[in-house]
Amino acid sequence: MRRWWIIPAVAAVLAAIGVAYWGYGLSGDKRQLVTYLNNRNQRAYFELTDHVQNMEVMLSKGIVSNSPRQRMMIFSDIWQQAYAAQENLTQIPMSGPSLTRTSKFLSQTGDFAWSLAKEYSRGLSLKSGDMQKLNKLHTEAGFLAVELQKVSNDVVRDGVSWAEIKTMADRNLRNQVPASIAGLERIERNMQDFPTLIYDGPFSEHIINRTPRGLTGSMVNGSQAAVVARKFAEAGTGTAYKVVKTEDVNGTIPAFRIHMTPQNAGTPVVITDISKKGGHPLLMLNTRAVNRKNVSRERAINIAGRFLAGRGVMNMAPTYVIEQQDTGVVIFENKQNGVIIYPDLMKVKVALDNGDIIGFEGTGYIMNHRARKNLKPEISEREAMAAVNPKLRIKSKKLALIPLENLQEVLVYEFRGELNGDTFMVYINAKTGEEERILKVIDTNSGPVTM
Amino acid sequence: MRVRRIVILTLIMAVLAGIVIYARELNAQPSTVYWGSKGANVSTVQSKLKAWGYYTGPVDSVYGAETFNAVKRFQAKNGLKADGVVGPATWAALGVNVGARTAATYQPSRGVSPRGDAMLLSRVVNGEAAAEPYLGKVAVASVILNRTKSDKFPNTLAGVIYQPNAFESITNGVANREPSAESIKAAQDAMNGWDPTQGCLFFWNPSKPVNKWIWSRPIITRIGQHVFAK
Repeated sequence: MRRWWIIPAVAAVLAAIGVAYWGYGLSGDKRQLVTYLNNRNQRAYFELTDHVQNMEVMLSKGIVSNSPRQRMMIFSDIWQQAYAAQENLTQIPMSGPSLTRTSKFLSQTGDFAWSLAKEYSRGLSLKSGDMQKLNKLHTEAGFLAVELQKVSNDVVRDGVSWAEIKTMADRNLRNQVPASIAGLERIERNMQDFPTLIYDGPFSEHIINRTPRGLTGSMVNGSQAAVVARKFAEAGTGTAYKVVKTEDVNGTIPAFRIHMTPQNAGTPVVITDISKKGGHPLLMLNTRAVNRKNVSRERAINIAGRFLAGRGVMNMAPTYVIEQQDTGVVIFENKQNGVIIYPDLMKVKVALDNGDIIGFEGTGYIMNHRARKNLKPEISEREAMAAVNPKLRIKSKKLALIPLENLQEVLVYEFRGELNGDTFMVYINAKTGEEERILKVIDTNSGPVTM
Repeated sequence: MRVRRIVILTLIMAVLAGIVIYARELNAQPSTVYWGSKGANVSTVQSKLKAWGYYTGPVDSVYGAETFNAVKRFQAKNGLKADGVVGPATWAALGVNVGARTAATYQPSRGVSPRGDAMLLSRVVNGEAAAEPYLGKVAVASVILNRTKSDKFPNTLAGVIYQPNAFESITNGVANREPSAESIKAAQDAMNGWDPTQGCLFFWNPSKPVNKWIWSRPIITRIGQHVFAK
């Protein structure tokens, strides 16, 4: 009776011990996870430093080498090192996209080196100005390598782990930025001074900042655009629409975004982008649900073709169909003098329940379309065929204009054929007879995919 | 009665499975055997050579001197290199099926499909824009796809999506939820080339706190709660 508190006290002590034990286990688990994460980040960081150092060395070797074959190997190696470095860089846990300039430098250097390697593989050599670009890239890579080394020294000295950096960055504690983060940010600021690089590759500045070439006609205002949009949507569905909202899109192709609904209902919404210059439809999306498939692939191609012709888009040939979830996307290519112009493409989405047009995509066409000159091949089809692997059983052939990575266009013979049960498309340059590209056609449930 | 039937069925299945496995074993290409080898392949060689009179020792599945000499005699007789090593050529001469797997034939492609990409993309779309209008979902998917083509971001879809701190729904695990049918459709539209953002690389919700730097990007359009920028 006198010691009534003993039992609760013992229970409390036991509970406290239990909680302590449990907490200790948790903190041990957490420590282990943090260390694991830290090690992964550490690895990415050290690999990044290594790859940038290798890049710097390889760039200097590329400058000093005098043998085309050796240079081809060196440039391919720079590409590989830059690619790996970029991969590691993007694994470092910074808050937000704050290392984009460094990433861009790595991408462009790799891309540029790869384009030089390809030049050598074609039997060409460095153009004037390339050496200057290489010198500049080498200086920059050297700077980056030294700075990365400094940052890793800071990390070791401060004893700040990467996991801590991540949480600090998350909390946005700007007043006590750790040395390593500050270092990376300093590097990023200095990368800003790097000049624009123009060369034959997909990341070249002239490709990123390209302008539409098929944007013809005079400016239209919002209400004119709304009329175009309404007619466009009505032609595809046979439903009358009313405009509910008009917005601006300030992209590469400035446009009005017209939201519409059927005259007598609130749904489904149809959105159409109409270019401000010329009033061209760029994109349409009808958000309605699609019921069970009722329309064959062939009929869908027909419907889509008639829709384009009805909108005054002529000379378009369907090339393939993607079937997904009871909708079919028919891809059309422009044809000029019997030549398929692959860059000038439009996509029409058909609902396979009743054959309504529920989508349209024409930015590729607007970006690229123009009348092409020089569509005459200089070698005959037979000569071109001699360049194709004789084992390929050719099923069809045609003349086509294809875009290269640098957006240059080449006139080619397209040979579609089979080898060992796989389908390939082989493109032979119609001027030089060289093999420009090979695509592999893979049949999937939703139609053929080329890779 | 019922139990007995199940037991019998199970037994039959087991025997069938055994036969299949055994048949596979027979068809499998035997590995190269040489002095010092042990096992079933060696006893196959020994029994074959014994039947044809090259080998007089016991079939003990151990490749010793006697087997070695027998193999060499067999090889010399059959115009093979008499090195005492039973490789593919010797196996063929012994009449043992040399599996087709070693032959350098071409197998047509199987199982390449962009389906996995579509699923991964639709999960992030679902995590980032579940409450957004359909166009907003397509736009978010487009931003992710545009990043894979940009020099400022990783080059693969998984690289872009799992870049540290790139997407909130990846950081907090919301993206692991099963995507809605609308998110899947939106991801497919974006993969088919519908890009309502005209090549944007960033999107954010202006009513939430974001990195100040991001506001320096040129804003292209606004869809639902998100603004989209290059």
